Amino acid sequence: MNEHHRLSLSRRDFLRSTIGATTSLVCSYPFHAMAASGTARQKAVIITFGGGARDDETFSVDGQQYIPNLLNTLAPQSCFFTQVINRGILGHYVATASIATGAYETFDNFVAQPPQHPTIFEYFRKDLRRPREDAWVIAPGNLFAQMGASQNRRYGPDSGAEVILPKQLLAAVLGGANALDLDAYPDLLRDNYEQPDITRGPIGTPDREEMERIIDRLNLSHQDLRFAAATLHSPDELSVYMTKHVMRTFAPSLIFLTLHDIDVAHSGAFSLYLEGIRRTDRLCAEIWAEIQSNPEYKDKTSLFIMPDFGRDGDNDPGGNGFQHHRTGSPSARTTWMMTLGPAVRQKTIVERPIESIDLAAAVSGVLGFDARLVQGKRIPELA
Amino acid sequence: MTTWLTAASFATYPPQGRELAVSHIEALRQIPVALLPVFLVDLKAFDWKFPVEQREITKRIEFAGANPSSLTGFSDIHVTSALDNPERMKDPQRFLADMTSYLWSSLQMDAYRKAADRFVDLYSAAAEPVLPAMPRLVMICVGRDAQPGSWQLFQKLRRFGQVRTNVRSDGAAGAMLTALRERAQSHPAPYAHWYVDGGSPLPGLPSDGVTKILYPELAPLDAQILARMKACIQAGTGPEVLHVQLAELNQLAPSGNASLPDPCLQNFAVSLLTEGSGTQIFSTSFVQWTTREVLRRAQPATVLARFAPRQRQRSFNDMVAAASNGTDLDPDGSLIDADMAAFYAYLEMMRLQGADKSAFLVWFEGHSQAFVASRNTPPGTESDTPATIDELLAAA
Repeated sequence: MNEHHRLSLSRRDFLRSTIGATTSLVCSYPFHAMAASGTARQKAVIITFGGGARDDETFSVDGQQYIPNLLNTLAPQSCFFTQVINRGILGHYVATASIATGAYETFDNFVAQPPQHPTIFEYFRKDLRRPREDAWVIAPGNLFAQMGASQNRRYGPDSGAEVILPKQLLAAVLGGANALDLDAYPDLLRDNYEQPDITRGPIGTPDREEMERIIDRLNLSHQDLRFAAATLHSPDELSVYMTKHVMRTFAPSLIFLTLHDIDVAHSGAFSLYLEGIRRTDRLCAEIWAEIQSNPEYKDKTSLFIMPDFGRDGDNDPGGNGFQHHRTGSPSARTTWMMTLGPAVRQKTIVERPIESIDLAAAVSGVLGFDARLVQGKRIPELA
Repeated sequence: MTTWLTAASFATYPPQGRELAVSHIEALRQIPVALLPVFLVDLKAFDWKFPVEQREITKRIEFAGANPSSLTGFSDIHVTSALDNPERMKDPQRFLADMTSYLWSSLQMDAYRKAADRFVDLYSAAAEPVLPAMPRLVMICVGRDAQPGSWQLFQKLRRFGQVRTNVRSDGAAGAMLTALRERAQSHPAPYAHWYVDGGSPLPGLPSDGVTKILYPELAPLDAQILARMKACIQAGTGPEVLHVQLAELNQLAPSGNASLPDPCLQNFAVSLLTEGSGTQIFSTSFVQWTTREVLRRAQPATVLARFAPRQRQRSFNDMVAAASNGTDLDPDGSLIDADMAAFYAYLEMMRLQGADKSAFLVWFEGHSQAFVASRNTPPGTESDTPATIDELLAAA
């Protein structure tokens, strides 16, 4: 038994005992059948449970205590994939972009740039002739600014998604404020250890013009944003606030939310890493609750939750345990995926391995576009 | 194979490292270029390595030279001409960083990892075991100022030893210091007995025979490194460049402003602050990484490591811009950090030769909880029998 498989079995056994799930070859009612029967237009929300969460602190027996919402609220309604392998570069932006393109991107993780392969946003908008406000990316920092559209000539920015960088938006709103105002929001403007915000100072000035355009587009007043932000405690809470605002304002069909608080693990403080996991667990449940309470989304939305990748294993002598994701060990490459929605057969577990880039093909099945250049495989259990 | 390696390739290396390289030039030529920077980084810093590391580096080069078949996995890795280049010799740190980046981007990291595992397995099987002069003892104090009950301690460790819930706290710290002092006196050797502290040291710390690393004493060095980080952030050069620049600081350490009198120790201290993540800002991360590196590199007989509360989390840029020792502390979070760090110290101890005879003790400072693991301790058990630290150490 290889290490990837061992991790998978541990998740399966644990979930089965917790939620009474069964193993199945089919975990959904066919999406295409729903479309043919005239079901209302489908929507998809993708959340990356990031950045970088290990099995040890999520779906292992020891980790269950940190994910009560995933476990008790979401898992019983889900189809759960126990073995999702990321065979690409384990850097957050490049890995997240790979999930969005369905192909392993190989660019420098620390340089903001568009992915090489077309994204699901471009396929979706171009194939289905959808307006720009129907696809949104909510991402944690400047590096992700160009994730909404690829360099592919047949697609590109004209068919890409709107991209919101909530921290940068807030910084832009606060830019003209006095120092006391800035001091009131330090937690929300928190940068992370591996990717300190290098394009500006501690608070700094992002591209104000672009930020103002997005704030305008969001129908969000500076005062509303400042007022809301004052009640929030982390960048991911701000991202979820923005996501809910987008859902209520535009009701887009395709949303890609990248959470990142967990990556504080690079600082080596285990307690902060655990806090990040607990918070991410809570925020995933909040998004599901929003889907259930918003008539634009209820009963027609598929939710996909998946870490971008794991982190190094405790027993890997080349790493330093949870702190990094540098060794490429099975612990860092193997994660899980949770799928919820009207087409999903609940309390189902899929044990066969899939890859993180397979998600793009699954989303194409939900929304009905042709992701013709994806390298990831179709997920028959969700077909 | 790196046939372009000559004695002149090492002209800029420090004397001992250069001498070793030149005397082993044929062996080094056997090493495929994908693996070469790992050896070069060691050679460039050879003069400031601990004695046990110097022996290890020499043996590894000799093994590679005598057993080229152990390196076959690396030969299969495709490397660009920009990397397979004699010019790369001048800056091994950058060579290593670029090689790592290339291996990831060319999706060859898994193949590299497999080749590395194979080489390490073959080398370890062939190497003569080097045992410590006395059975190894690692002692750790966690949780200074933390509230008991805020965190269930030893969740990760308990399956390896015994949780003790009725330990007498009076005299506990003194007993650990006494054990350190007596071991240092009975088996004196350079870098064989260590004391690491994230804050002010315990009163009565032995002055002789013990190598000390105290976080507050490294504050001037830390300030220099934080200033370099801040400049890098403001220049917008990116995390990879920042990482390489910090690693380069390590090479310059012996000629820089010394916080410690011993050049070897000074180099080690700089490496802790430049190669460790979070060590510059969190005392808990510093003690964890230091303990791990002391065990991995110096392979000592005795370690006493003590955690102090770290500063509360703020924006990373803010923490770099300010100082490493903020006044707003997080003792309860630090207890969780230290508990996990103790687990990692145990794992590191068990990777060393002589692990089967080693003993490991963790004490929740000021409280009655402790954890012991040794060949005499039943694993996965808990005991509320009253005991002193002296008694636990004697039984271990």
